[in-house]
Amino acid sequence: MSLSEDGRLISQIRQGDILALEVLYEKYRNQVYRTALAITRDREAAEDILQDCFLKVYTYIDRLDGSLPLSPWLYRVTVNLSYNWANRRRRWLQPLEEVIDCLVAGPRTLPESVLERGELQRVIQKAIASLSFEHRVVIMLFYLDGFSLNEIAYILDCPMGTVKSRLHYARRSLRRKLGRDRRLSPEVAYEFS
Amino acid sequence: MSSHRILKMGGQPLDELDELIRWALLDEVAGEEPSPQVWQNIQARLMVRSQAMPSKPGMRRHWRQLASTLRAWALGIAAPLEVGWDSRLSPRERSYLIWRENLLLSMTMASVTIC
Repeated sequence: MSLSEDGRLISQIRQGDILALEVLYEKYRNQVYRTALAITRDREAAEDILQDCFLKVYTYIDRLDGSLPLSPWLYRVTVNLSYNWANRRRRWLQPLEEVIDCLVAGPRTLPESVLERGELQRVIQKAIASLSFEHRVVIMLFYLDGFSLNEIAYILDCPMGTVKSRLHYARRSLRRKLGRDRRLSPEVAYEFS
Repeated sequence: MSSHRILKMGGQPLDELDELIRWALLDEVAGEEPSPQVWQNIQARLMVRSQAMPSKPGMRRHWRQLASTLRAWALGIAAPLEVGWDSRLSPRERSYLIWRENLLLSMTMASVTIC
């Protein structure tokens, strides 16, 4: 059985080869970082998560199966670390952040004609950010990373039915939130039964 | 996994909302990269970890035994071939051999004397 590139790197890391770990890091750093950033929306947290993720690769290198793709395992670790971060943050910062959001958000008096790309994007991002952690993670993995429902089920370590259900409710919630915004087209608010 | 396959959910092609979500998410993180400091931190942490982790006493003993066995083999091979110690052995090993030979000689002399 020929080992994949990841498999070869994993066996080199097992021999204590840090350069092989660096090659692996270079290969996956942007994907892991961007996913962590999309979930946490915090650059510093995303960098911490990336760092911890690769320290875990080194720590658990003997348990990794070199014949399987590494990517889903990395995402599983990334999501778990993001979840821990979100839990810690929820305890301390959320109430304060909500107040700041209210203060910073300007009056919504922009006419439809001046709806710009950036504004629309901000509305959608805010709607996504307002989802529960579980729903947000599924949205990230499905839309941003392009994982299949099956792969997401592995990453989240839950049945595929749960993933389907979370995705369904997350989309429905987004549709409602965005549908209320009159600047978006009516099609967005249309819900499949 | 950066390339995006044709998204479908439950066999249903995705609609404008899906396109908007994907667009907003991709745009939010596009071009974002971690700082080089992250890899440096990882390296530093691994270095600290390897220094802090004491080698197990059992392992240390094992390596010591292995080293002495190898040395004994090397000496055993070199002696009958009468290979010059100067070229093969370090001064420390040479002095060890001299000391060992002297010890063997004195033990032999002692046993001869006793007999």
